[in-house]
Amino acid sequence: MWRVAAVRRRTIVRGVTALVVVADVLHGQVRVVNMIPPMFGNETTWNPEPSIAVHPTDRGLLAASAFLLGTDVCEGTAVSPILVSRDTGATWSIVCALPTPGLAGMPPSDVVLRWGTRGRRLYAAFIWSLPDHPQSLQLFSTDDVFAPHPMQFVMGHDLVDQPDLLVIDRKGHDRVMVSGSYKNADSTPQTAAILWADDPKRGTAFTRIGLEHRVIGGQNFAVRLAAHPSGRVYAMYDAVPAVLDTSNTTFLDFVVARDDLLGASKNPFEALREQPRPSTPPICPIGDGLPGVRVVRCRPFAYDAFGASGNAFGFQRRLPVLMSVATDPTDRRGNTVYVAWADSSGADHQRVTVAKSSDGGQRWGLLLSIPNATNPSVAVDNLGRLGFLFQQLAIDSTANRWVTRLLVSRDNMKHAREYVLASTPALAALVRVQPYIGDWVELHTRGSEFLGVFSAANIPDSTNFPNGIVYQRRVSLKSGRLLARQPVDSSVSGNQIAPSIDPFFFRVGPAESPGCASLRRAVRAGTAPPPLTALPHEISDSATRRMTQLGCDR
Amino acid sequence: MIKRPGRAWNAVVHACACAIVVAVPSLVHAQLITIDPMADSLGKLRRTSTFAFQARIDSLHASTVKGIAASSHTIAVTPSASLQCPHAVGVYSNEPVTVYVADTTGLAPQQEWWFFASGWIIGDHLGVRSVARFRASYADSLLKKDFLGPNGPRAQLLHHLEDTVFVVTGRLAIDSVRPNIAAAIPRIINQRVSGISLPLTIGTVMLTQGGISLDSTINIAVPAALLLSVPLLQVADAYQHLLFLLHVTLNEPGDLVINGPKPLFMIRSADDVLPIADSAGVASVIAQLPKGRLGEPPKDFVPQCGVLPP
Repeated sequence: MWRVAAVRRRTIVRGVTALVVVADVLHGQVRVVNMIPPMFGNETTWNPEPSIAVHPTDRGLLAASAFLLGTDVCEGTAVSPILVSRDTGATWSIVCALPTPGLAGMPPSDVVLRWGTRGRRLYAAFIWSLPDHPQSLQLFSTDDVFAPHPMQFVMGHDLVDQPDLLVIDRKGHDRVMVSGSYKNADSTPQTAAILWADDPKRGTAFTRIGLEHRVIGGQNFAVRLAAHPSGRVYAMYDAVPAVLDTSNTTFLDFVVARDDLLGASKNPFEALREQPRPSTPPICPIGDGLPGVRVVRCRPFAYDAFGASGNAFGFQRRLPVLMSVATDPTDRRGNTVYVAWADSSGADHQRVTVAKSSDGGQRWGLLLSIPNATNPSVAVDNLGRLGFLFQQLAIDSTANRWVTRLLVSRDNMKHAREYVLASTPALAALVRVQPYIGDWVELHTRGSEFLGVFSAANIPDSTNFPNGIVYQRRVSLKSGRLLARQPVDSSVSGNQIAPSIDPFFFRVGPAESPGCASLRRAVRAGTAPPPLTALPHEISDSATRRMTQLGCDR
Repeated sequence: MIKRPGRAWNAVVHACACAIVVAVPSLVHAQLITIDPMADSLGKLRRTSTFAFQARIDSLHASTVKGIAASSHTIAVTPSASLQCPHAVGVYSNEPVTVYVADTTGLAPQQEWWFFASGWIIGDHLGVRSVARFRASYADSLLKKDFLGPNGPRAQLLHHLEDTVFVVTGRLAIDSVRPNIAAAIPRIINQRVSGISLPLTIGTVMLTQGGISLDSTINIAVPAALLLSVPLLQVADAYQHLLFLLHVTLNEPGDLVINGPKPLFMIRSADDVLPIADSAGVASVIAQLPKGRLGEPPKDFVPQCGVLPP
């Protein structure tokens, strides 16, 4: 009986998978969508730092956030919007959902959304300052993302920065973990912590777990979380080491801690300790026997909170909060884990690096470093393929460009498909305030599909998007201009509205792009590539380069 | 049916805009007349709602928004006049709108109502949550009276102009400092200063006339939070064409200015930044200032999304 049911289930699953694969082929390998809805098409505000929540059971349902101003849209200054899609990201709607009472109409910052494990609830964590509650972490939830009223309050905590949110299944219940830099009232530097509770509602007591066990020289700036179905939870955080003079340069240790019982071990997040060994090298040694393994130590970081370096780093600020961690679902025990972070090196303003551990975080090997880049995010699909999303500054004689790239690799980044999702100019005119494109992007997987969000200049030039682009708002791709939602007159210039920073959604399926075969034929024959739209300055229009842009197998 | 502004209207606006670089008398007493309570509450609703519109009910228990299922709380309507509009949406007259209502008692297709609402969902179409509603036949004249009358936007502007020293057309560049939110918030929280409680940053208004840049600029102080909260100020400055109502910074504490010495002039609130479309309205109010009381607005003006009657 069991066997029959299992076979039937497998048949159904295979049937569904086949349909999905067919759909991917039919609808193209890569989909990039500007997330501003058509009815919101006069929007000119800046929307950096997007996040996205992938529904665990409803394939079509996605929720996302960015810096979105609720003023004059939702309820004066009392509610801010999120973005929701019903059709796997093909179209998006603004939904007024986040309660943000008080201050003069600023958008909530550091918004992170996650669905509950059965998809019943959507949770939102973000930072919102209130009178007498500075830099307050706010946790809200809703049973209906399309409800005509805002989400329900769950928990608040003052003086928090850089929250991350993880919801894991505990016997059918949502175990909700909110990590962050919980700045202590007594100004002690150990600020990396996690608050967790099961099925939390207003008034639920949260358990606090302090992650930092070492004497450090400055705060832990951020904590990122990842879970594995085995019950393992990994936390990655950074710390300012105590041993170095940090008066002129910020130095960072990048640390991974682990818990093997959904965060509820007797000594939580102490499953991973550095193996004691002699203090080598003499400066910044690794091996003190304490919980939390330091992947790398004493990495310089070119702190620049106000983006003062200007166009040297694409008008982008540099904060020491750029980290990501992901587990491999194909590793049954959850020993395979990847991390990515940003630090500085030589002439690079900032580089991003990926590392891998195959023994549950004890030992690490570096896989890849990308120069002049920011916003690293890693995820692993159900084929064991590592996805690495980042935004790289491409220096160009006309205008520097922020190039958003996704690498997908089966072999530890020895070989990778590379997709250029966007290549947009970094323009001083678009910098109204910091952040510019922001210090947050997100990459997720569902099955063998990669889904994610990033922010970029919304100038509707098709050459900025080598893998195609779908705008919901009214644009003229021919003239590269955004247009007012309703036609004012028949001219393009009369309808033009100002460009700004918008959130973009992307979806990359497992199949190779349909255009790759013709490009490969052109390379083999030594002929010119098929006619394509002109490419931006920083991209040479060769067939091989074009293959890289599209993510072709090489 | 609302007449859409056309080229002729734009020409009038631009002509007026060119004329506006004026000094405003510092003390003007607006005569505010008390009106009946119902009209007063309608006026408050208009000012606090993010959407306000007159609409015909097309069907009950219906939805026009993708992703929103029809329910006993949703009705489909078509606005004939939109009085309050978010910047990002603009005018939505004659477009289908789904309204979430507490109940549909007393509602029927083809009826005309005024809806005052908050934003709910904005996608391919608009969905709003009704805060209050009034039969059009009853509220129409009261609303028009409110909008054009002694408590309406023209009267508020007159009051606001009392301590305005300059009204200029131009665009605002904040090129010397780029405040970040994290840095601004502690100051907003911690500095308990009466009056302006927000840190001020310094900007430059580049004066324009008819959309053309002049050589003149004025340094002004701008509350940092306005850069985040006023959609008009988030437009890249090359694309701005705005009206600025400038006040003196005389009584503002200098230690709140986060980048350099305190300039002579400042904008204080979102009310000091107006779209160029309001030029004609502002000009007509300024023309009334010496007398300190408002003249009659044009009889045929149709209120639309907060645009001031000329």
